[in-house]
Amino acid sequence: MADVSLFRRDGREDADSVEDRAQIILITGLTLAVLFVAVVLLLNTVIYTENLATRGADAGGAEAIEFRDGVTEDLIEIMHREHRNASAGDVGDEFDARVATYARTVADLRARDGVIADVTVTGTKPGTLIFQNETSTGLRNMTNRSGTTPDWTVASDVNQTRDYQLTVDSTRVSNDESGAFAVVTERPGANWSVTLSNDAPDAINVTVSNGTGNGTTNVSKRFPHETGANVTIDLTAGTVDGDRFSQLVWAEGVQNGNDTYDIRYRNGDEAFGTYSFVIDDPDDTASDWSSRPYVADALYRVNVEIRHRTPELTYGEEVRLAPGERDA
Amino acid sequence: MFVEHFPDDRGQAHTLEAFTAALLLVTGLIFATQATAVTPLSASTSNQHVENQASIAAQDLLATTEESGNLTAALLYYDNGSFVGGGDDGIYAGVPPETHPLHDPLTEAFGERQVAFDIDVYYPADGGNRTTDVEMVDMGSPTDNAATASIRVALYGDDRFGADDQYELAKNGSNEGYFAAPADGTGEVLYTVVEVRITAWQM
Repeated sequence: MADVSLFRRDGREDADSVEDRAQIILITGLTLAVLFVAVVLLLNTVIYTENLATRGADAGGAEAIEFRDGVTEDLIEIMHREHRNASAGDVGDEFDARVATYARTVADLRARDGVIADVTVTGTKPGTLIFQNETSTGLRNMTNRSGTTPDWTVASDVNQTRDYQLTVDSTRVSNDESGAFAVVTERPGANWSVTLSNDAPDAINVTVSNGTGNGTTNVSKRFPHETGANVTIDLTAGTVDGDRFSQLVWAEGVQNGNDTYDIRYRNGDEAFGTYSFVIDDPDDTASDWSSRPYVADALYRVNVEIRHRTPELTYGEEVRLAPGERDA
Repeated sequence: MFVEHFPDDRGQAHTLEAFTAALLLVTGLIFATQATAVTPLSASTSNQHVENQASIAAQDLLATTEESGNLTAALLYYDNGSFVGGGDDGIYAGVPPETHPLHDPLTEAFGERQVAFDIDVYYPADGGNRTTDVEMVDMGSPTDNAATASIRVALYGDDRFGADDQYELAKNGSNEGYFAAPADGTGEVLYTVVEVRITAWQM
């Protein structure tokens, strides 16, 4: 009987405990579920906080650099337009006034974002812009102002040249290199020239010739292009129709920063096109808008101080603006 | 000691309970993972991504369109006192029409992604004493999670504006009702500098 009674008692108790355990499992299940939710939420918060904390950890240098780049671009545009707009002799003053307006406007706009910004011109180097554009009847040849002299000096006593763009009609250059149009730079003891030949409608030959006391080296390259198209040669950037010509280094061996040189055109009647460049000699020729090529007062180089201040970062830099100078 | 085994008819119940518990756990987990990103706008990591993406998209859009000149062209696409093709008040209520220089970039960056945006143009007024703004695109009030990006654009006196580029800023800007006045004098070289601001948010 003991067995039976034990069995009965135990049996009853066992039944009770089984019911208890079911509840416990249920409760545990629920608790675990809630726990998991809590853990996931917690983890998410941690990641979110970390995300927030690491964001914007830099002092905003990119913003300052962006400002500098934007200002540089805009001032170059202003400089470019001022060359053709300013009245004679005033280009420097007018540029300064324009930059002052620009600085004031930009400072007002930046102030709305809590940035103190300032742009000031700290120095200018006057120069001369010499250019020939298209006439009403089409491209003019490269002769002098009177149109009679094919071999002539475009500019003399030049120290530096920038932004020299030459566009020629590729179908109207001399086929023979020896009599072809050439841009020549020379000073005592050194000369450098670029000759444009090959009157094929879809290609142009560019010959760079470098002469010193020891002799002359010639490098020639043929540049194919779209049929009949005008070809733009950037003499200071060293490109022909956008393609790099590594041997084309403006006035290599002639422009050394110390000695002055002359820029001359040879066989100017053998090419038709436009050109434009800025030299650093303000006294070269008086401003002259009577006929092509035009001569205008210009700015060879401008130094601009740019300041950009946020609560986190003060940025200041003096930028030298002389767009289109040759490398090196 | 010996282990007693008693007859037990609750095996099935136990199994069921176990299954229920397991189900509860799984449901809890699913709920938890879903709950963290209830909407892309609730504060969470995904919301951060959405905001960052909108901000970067707006910034890149401004940078690329400024470089390509489309942004300037959009600012100059202004005729007769309103942006060309805008609504009655001269404001676009969505992505601008196809003739607009910013139509393609805006469609690609925001229009196709269900991102709403406003574009405001701030410019100096009263001879530089005050800064005011004109709306280019107005798609409503931004949410708390909106991202902004801005860029400054210089407008020059020889820039041409109008539906067919028929006017020149320095010559016709004030007569033909261009929204911004010259920053100084007649604005012959530098007309003015404006700031274009995009506010973008997830709809």
